[in-house]
Amino acid sequence: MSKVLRVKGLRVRYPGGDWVLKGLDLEVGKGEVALIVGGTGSGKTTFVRAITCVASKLYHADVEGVVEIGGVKLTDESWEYVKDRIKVVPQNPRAALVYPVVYEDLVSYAHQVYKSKSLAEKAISNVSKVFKISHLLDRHVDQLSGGELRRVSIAKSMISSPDIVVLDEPLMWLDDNGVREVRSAIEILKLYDVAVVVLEHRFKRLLDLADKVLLLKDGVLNRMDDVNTGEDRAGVSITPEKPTAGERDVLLELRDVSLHVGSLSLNRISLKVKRGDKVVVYGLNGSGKTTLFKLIAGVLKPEKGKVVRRAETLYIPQVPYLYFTEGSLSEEARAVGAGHALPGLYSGRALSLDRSPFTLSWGEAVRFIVELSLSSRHELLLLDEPFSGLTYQDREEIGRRLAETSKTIIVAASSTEHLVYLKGFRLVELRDGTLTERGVVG
Amino acid sequence: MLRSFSEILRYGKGLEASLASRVVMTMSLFVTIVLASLSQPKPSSWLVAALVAVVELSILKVASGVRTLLRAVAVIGLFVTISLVMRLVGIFLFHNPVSVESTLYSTVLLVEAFLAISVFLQTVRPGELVWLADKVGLKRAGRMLALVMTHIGSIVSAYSEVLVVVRLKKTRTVLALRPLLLYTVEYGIQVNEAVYLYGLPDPVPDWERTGVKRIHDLPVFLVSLITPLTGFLLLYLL
Repeated sequence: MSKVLRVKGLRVRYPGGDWVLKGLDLEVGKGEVALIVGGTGSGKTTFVRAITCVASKLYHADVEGVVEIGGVKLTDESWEYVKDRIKVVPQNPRAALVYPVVYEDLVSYAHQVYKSKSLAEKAISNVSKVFKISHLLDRHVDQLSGGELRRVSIAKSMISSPDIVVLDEPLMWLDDNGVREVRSAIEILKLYDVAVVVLEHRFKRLLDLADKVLLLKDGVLNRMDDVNTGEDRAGVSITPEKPTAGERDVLLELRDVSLHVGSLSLNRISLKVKRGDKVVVYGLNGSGKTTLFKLIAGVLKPEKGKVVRRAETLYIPQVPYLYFTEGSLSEEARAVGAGHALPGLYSGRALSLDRSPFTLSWGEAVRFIVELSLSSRHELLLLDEPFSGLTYQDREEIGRRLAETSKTIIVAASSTEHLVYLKGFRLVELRDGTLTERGVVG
Repeated sequence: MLRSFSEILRYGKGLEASLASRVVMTMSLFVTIVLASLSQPKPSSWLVAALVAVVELSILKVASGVRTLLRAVAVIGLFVTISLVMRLVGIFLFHNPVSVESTLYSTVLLVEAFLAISVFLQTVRPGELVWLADKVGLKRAGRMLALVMTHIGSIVSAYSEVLVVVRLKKTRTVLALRPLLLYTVEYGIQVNEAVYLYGLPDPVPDWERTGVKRIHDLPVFLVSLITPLTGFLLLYLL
């Protein structure tokens, strides 16, 4: 198998920082899938930046070592010649779109590559058929689901017929359908003999597609031969809800609530949550989980029905950095009445409480917010997709902390993979605008 | 509200007609509104205002569906109602010489002007808009416009998330600017990287591309001709 990507002794450091990558080696051949796993901050994105000259050109980072793309040694000068041979589908695939309507974006990019309208149209016709996106061409990007957006981005990356496609965290935010769509896109890339490099922390869903699995840790890549291939959801079952003993206050009640926002409809939703209840709202992307949380939070008003909330509530958004409003971790704690818990909040973690919350890594940010909320004055906690972007270890830790607390918790989840961390939670499914009790996650 | 506002100002399902006919159609609406605004409120001018409204609402319905149409009317109606109320209060409290009928008439025309802008943005593809900007020497502004139109949805969505957080944390609303600013900067960095990798290509408007609704140029041109002509006849000749 001829190697189209060769990386030898790659070292990268940003101005004023330490070496993030410390001598990384990698070889990927045609039609081969290399799965690189690693926690947040391990250097996955830096690796992508280094092999595309983004690190040196945009971030002025020191890049040492050898990168060869299709036999051509990569330098800032040679990048112009090889840039169409390696394509990156970024972590946020929307960022790679210039025009808001899918067809316009693809045709303008294809025209830039081929300098001919007919060739551009032909290229789009080909990738649309291969990646099954013909029905999406007239859509606005805001109307695409997460999985559709990834597929469109992967199709865009294939317009220039590259030898290598790099997928940076392709499963981030995706529900079960989206994961299937990305898997099928990777299978197609493989079929077309494209070398695929996937950087992903949520790797278990991709293991069977990978020809080699490598762990990025301490700035180097090591082959993983004994990977736990067990699917996370394997241990999950749903049992009919057991009657709860004893009288408890009802903290939240949704009575026949209906609301229409854009193309989304919630129809006659009812939900009763008692003090200490732990509920997981499961639904695919776009099913209305965040809208439901906004209804509960009182930011959206129902068109029909009533929302009764009898407890102070805290909302933890999908992107943890959107939670932070204060200048330091200690101020964040005080803002939610968790100042008393400050000494305990970071026991065992070498983090200064004077640190700005925006400097935390994704995993650190989520862990901090969860700990904070558990010590806060708020009784009802709304967590929107708390497991996205986390390592399996972090997920387990957060799942355990949520299970231990006496607070009332409502978690939104779009993947059955996350249910394994929510054992004992009451499962309600949001589908086609209605909410259905499914039982208890066991 | 923010989401509704961004939705009425973005491309809908579109009309299958040439760019020229779609631009002429919007221009004809503006011309009719300007003609009507030059006239005092009288039965025939109300008739012209009604005609413009019917044309605009029909186009919006075909281009983007009933829901977007209702949203457009609701959002624009809200802003205009506020201004109308303020003007009416002015009339009644301060003996403003402008009559109630004139105020109502100018308000209707104002709503129609906003609807005409919405018609333009709903029926002209962003790429075509950028192409038009290129043609009038605003290449850089056109690219910026395209990027803003593509990414504004994400920023609006983040704003909405932060709003929930701030409200429930019961912290000062001004502090919402901090996460929003950082999110926007981070998002900008991602777009910058993507532009470096994929470039900022010139728009390639596709004049023949088929849309959802099949409407030919002729009826569009006819509507564009008949609307201002009828308006002129009703207002000044009859």
